[in-house]
Amino acid sequence: MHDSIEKTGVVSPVKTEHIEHVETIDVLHVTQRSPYRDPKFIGTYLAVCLGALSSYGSFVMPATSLLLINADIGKYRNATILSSIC
Amino acid sequence: MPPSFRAYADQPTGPSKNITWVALVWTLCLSVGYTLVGSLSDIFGRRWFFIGASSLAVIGCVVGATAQTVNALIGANVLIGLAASGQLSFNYTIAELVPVKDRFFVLSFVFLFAVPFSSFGPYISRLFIVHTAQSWRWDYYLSIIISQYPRARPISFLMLITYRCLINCPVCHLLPPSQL
Repeated sequence: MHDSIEKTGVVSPVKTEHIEHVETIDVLHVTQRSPYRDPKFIGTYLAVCLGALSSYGSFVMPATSLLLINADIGKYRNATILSSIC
Repeated sequence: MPPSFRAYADQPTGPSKNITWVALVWTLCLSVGYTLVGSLSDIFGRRWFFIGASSLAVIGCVVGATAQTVNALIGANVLIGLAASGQLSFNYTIAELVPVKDRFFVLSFVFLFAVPFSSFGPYISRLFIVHTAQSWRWDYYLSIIISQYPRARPISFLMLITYRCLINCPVCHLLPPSQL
C-alpha cells in the first residue's frame, strides 16, 4: 500500500494502524500516509519551523550578549539622584 | 538617614546581579513547561497549546523589547521560556504527521531551519548591537516578526489537531473518522 502511494502520489483516504496494546505501547496510531503535498501539512511544517527559529532566536541572541545588555539597562537608574541626596 | 532612604541606598548601583537569571529562568520555565505541554496536549489536543505558545512568545518578546530594567527582562524570559516549551515540541508534533521512515529527514530539516539563530545567533546579536540604534532590542524585534506566521497560521487553518487525530484523545475518538 505504501509503495503505491509513493509511486502515484495520490493521497489515499486515512488509513491508520491501531495498536491495541496500549498498556505497553503509548503510540496508538502510526500513519502510512504521505502528507507532503497537502497544503495544510506544508503550512503546519512552515509554522513549526518558524516557531522553532523564533524560539531559538529569542533566547540565544539575548543570552549570548547579556554582558552588553547589563551594561545598558543593568545599572540602578536613580544612582545619580541617590548620590546627590545622600 | 531615615529608614526609607536606607532601603534605597542599599540598592545596587552597579550592573545588576540578577542578570544571570535572564538565562536561568528560561531554562527553568522550559523544563517546567515541557512536562505540562506534553501531557496536557495529549489530553486536550495540540492546537490551542501551540496557538497559546506562539502568542505567549510574542507577549514575552514585547516585554523583553521594551524592558527598562533587568527584572523586566527576567519576567520576559519567564514568558519566552514557557512559550518555548510549546515551540520546541516539534519533535513529537511533526513526527506524528509523517510516516516513521521519514521522521529523520523531516525533523532534521526543522533543526536545519533553525541554524541561523541557534548557531549564528551570537554573531547576529553582536551585529544588531553594533549597527542599530536600538541595539539588543532588535533581538526581540526580529523574534516578534518571525513569530507572526506561527501565531496566525494555526488559527486560520486549524492545523494540527484537525489534520489528523493521532493521539490518545477521548474527545476525538468520539468524532466520526471524516473529522479526524
